[in-house]
Amino acid sequence: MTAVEEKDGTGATIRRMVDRTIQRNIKGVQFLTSSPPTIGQTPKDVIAQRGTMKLYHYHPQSEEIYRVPVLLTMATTNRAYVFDLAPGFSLVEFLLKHGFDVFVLDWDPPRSDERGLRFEDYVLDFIPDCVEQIAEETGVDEVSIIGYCMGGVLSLLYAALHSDGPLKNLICLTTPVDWSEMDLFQSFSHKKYFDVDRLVDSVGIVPADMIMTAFDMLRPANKPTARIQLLDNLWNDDFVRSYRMFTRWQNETLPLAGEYFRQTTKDLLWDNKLYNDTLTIGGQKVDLKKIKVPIMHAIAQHDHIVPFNASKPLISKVGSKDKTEIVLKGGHVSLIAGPNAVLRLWPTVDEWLGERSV
Amino acid sequence: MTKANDPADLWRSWVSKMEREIDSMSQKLMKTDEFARTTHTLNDIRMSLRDAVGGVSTKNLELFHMPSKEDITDLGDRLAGIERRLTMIERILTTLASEKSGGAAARSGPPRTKVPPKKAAKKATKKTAAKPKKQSKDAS
Repeated sequence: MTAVEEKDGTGATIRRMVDRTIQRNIKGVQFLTSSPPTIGQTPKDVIAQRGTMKLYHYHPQSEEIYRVPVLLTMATTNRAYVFDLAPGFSLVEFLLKHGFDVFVLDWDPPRSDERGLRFEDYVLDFIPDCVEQIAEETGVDEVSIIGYCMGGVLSLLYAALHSDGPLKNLICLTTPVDWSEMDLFQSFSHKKYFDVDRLVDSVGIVPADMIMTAFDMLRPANKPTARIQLLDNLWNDDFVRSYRMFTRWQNETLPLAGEYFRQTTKDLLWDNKLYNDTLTIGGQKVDLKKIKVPIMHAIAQHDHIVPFNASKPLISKVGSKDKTEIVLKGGHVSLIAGPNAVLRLWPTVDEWLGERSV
Repeated sequence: MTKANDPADLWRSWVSKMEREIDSMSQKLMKTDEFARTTHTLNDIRMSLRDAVGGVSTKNLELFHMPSKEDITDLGDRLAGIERRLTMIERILTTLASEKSGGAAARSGPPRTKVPPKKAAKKATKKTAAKPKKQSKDAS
């Protein structure tokens, strides 16, 4: 209750409650009958598409742009439109307006013939292919990469295996490195009880609902509470719009290629190979110390998907001299999208990357 | 009416408190060995059922001369193969076209000359600081 409301007293509070109840009823009907909000409206072109991989180039929105283009790499479990939810709530739009040339690597659900995709395909084929396409499109032989969550892991692996490549800067957003700290995922994939081989051999592609259930189980009360909060805030158009955009995004969780899931489970969750420096990809040892480019890592203080301790060691594991770690208030998603991100993460990324993109 | 006795606020804080408690309780439960064992036993049963039902369905579909899931998947894979080849051809053609036009068309757009605001401000300060020096030289 604000100071004004307290000053106005009980009468005003009751009036406000009645008004909101009426609004809730009217807008509740609108909520049920209206179509979902449009997302990803920033103008773009698909410049490459191959199976699960899709590369977008967004139309520049600034009179002059930084020399080095930037590639945003999405996690393989979710759609990249979380980077471009709505005007004013879009990281992509923010970067474009601040003079960046933005590319986004998005993932479509892997098709049945892609059930055999492995880290090798993502790190030694898809990302290098995108980097090549960007060089062709822009005429610039350098690129900065921003990787989110598992997209951060893939970007990190790419950086380690292409240490003399075209990578200019690397930004990892809430990227897990010490997988032994992923408490609940450890429990869900308990080595003693979870037969990952049987699952992958049987389904080929790990269904999206299974991935979504695992995410939901991390905070089981979250969904029912969110619905109660929605009911309470039905009078508030901004809240409802934001709720619908985020639930749509969460509900569009992607299935995973079976081999990729098997590798994640065995190499990362069970054997913690990335942290122990024993991970090999395509016969090459992944040594994070080989990463020498400027790197920034943003960690969310209250991240329930990638716990703080799982992502914290990243900066100490890389060999870069120019390295920055920032810990921001917020959770896994609010770190990159929503009002929290607009105020905290985005300006930091703009400042850090801008200085290094000339 | 203060925040303490506003029923709507009391309800909201109760909901938040319950959410935190339920989440923390279930997280504790999910970290136990028993939870992992039970969940994975149930998953195993589900997988066995899935395999058994899948086998029966395939036999029935065969009986009625209908394509099974595997047949459809196989068709999908073949289509994906054709699509891949088309993409490759498209890419080769684009590269050839780009080479012909010297890649100029692809590189149109705003100039890549932007400098970060801090650097730009520094440059501007340097320029203004240098100006009076030049003027005094001219004057002398």
